[in-house]
Amino acid sequence: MRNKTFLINRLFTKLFLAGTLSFLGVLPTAASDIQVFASVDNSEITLTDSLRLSVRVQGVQQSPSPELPNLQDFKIRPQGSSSSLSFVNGKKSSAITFIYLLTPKKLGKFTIGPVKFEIDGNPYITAPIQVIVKQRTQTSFPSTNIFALAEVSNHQLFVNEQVTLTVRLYRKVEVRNIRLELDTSRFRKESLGKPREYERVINRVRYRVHEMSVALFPLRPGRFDFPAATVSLDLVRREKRRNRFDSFFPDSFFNTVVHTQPRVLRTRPIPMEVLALPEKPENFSNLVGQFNISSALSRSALETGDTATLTLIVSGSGYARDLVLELPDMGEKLKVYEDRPTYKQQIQNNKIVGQKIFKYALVPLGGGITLLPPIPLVYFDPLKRKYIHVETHSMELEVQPASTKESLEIVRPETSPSFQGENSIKIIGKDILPLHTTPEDFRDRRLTGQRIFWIALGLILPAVLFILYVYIYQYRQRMKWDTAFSRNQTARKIALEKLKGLVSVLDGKDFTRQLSSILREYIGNKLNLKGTAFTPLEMKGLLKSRNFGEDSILLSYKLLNECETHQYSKGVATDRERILGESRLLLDQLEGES
Amino acid sequence: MTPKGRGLIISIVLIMVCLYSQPSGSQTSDKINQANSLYQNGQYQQAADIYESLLAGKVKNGHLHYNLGNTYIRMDKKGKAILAYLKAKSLLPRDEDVQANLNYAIHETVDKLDWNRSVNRRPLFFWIDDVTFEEHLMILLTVNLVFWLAMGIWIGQRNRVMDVSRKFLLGALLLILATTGFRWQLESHWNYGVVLQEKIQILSEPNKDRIALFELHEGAVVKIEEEKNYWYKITLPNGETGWVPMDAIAT
Repeated sequence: MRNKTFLINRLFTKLFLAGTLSFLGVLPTAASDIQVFASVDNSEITLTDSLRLSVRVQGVQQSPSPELPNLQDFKIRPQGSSSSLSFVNGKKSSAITFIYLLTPKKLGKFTIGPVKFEIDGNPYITAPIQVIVKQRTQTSFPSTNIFALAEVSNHQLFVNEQVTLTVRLYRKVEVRNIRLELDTSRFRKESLGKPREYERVINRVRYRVHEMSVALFPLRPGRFDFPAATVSLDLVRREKRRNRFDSFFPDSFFNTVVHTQPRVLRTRPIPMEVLALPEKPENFSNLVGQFNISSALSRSALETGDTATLTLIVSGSGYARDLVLELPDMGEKLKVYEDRPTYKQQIQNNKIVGQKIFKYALVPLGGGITLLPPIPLVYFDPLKRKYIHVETHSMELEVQPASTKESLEIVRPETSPSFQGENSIKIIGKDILPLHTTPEDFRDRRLTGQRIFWIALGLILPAVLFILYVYIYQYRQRMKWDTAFSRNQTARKIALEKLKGLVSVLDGKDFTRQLSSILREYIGNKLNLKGTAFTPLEMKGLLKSRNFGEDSILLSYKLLNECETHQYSKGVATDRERILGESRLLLDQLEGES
Repeated sequence: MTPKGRGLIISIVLIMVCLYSQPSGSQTSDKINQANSLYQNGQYQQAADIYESLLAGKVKNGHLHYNLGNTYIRMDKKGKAILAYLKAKSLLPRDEDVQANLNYAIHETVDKLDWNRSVNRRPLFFWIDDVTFEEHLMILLTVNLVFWLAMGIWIGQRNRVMDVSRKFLLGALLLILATTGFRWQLESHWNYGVVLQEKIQILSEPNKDRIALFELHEGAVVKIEEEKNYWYKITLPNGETGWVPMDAIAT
């Protein structure tokens, strides 16, 4: 009984300790213990580096976010917060650290002013920090594991002329989530496809290069520095470890722990000069580059009321997405319906090559030959530094009177195609599809607490049942193959069943003989002994060698001795109830201690 | 059974009863029926007010957004209708009625900006736009159950078939877990906007004095890339970008 109580006490002690620890985790600390510190990982950096600002609040479990000082010379990226709790010499110490990544925008000496906190109505501030942002030493390639360089295809260009910006990330380490950020407020930006990956050897060091290119088209003239490109990424560090789930998941996939650390790299600003276009001629299309214009007519001869399609294609190297083309006056003999232009773009030699297609439905209103005049296109060629005038050939459209007496019906270009059946259906109107009114459709699809509970249960319960199943499976397997374990586990059940049968035994000597046999068999099963022929004294030694409690050993010795005395003595009365009670108590004690 | 055991079972039963008992949805149903009747009677403004109030009350239902879109079409508010249809589509991605009415509404606009035709399908998670978050969750629960069943069978019968099966199911479980998270991210971070004004100019910078790059008209659907001082940086399906005041765009 004492041992059972001890076990329960030990369980409660563990629960109490666990509860106390979790309780301590949410207990606020006295305001007088609160201290705030700010620190940086480096006081001298270059424009291509980032500064890690750590703001630590000592003595709290929860804290509002700090109020940062005015840091207009830095770009700030919050990196989250971490909390810690430790016990040293019985004294609790807790802290929260807020991390920020500061990327400098210019050179100079800067002061990171005090970071302010208000905790429980009390203000706290940190000491200011001096930081120097200096020019990087003029080496062509930095000797680090990772760096980024940027270059442009042309430092002097005209408004709307393409310049290609290439940012190369050189690395010797594993990275993830590479993101390029550019300040392109002075430009139109067009993607030049997916980044390229290749290897390059610099100063006998092999680097993996991640090359990202964008096409830029300047919006206005001026001399300026193209702002530094920012490359954000996560540095990856892999560690191998083993854990308790290895037996379930022995694959190496689960044994590698991946740590990531955010990092920001900056390139140098690039001096650029954007020239204004010379005085613009009439009909200038706003295109800058090298372009062609071509035209095609779907049919050159048609009847009055028929439609011919005029296609104009402007293609070439440069930004043509916004091109607007105006047709010259076609006279009164033609009615012109403009379709929506389409634009296609592809990349050739890292340059944007665009093609814009204009389509017009031409409906002749009278017979005879109509001359379609040349359609001009004026663009600026930055290589020749002058405006170029190109035009299409003039075309003739022969119109004959209609052979049937059908009235003129102008078809809108966006009309749906007619059916191919004998009696085609004329669509006379369009409307939306009707309201949804089925009541079952309007069930609220929000994730309520109840649904989250069932989903969480659906996710967790199979795993819990699996663990339970594994436990039962392993237990059964051991019962099957491990005889000692099996005997140990079934000993008490067998003994209790046999003790029940003892009630019907009338003879006192038989009773004590059978009881002695039951107790010996129980101890034999419990200790995995061959046979039950041992004296009480031998049994005492066996139990002692297996570290059973002194009380249990004495009780078993006493009971076995008593059984033997009753068997071999005459006229000694047997207190059956007491002996049976003590036997059951012995079984419980030995079971608890095994 | 011990008193402790009985107490535990009674507590579990009580929790389950509490979780099962939810507030009656009859009031919401009545309001929807009322709004549908108002729509049928041509009282579109009143119908729209009821649909809006239900959605503002955090009811999440694609059919409600669809009906609201129909109501705004009848009121000739193309911008609001398109926004409602877009939200309906995010919750009912394979509903043909929603797609048809959205196409109709976009066709009625000046700019006819349609992200469906211009957005490249995702090469990796190609199904993610066509399967709702709720359906993702159901698939996740099913795959999770099958995976743990396979693990249980593998414990008893360690053969190659079961080994391959459990690894395949683990891969499927992780994949569906990732896509469920991705889909949740898509649903919880709505980044489309619709032009409500008859005509607005899109500027090169978030400043009223900057160059107008292009014009958009009511109902034009744009993607919102960034927010800055009451300005949105927007993108069109063709990749054009520019800045527009927040009040000109409904999200």
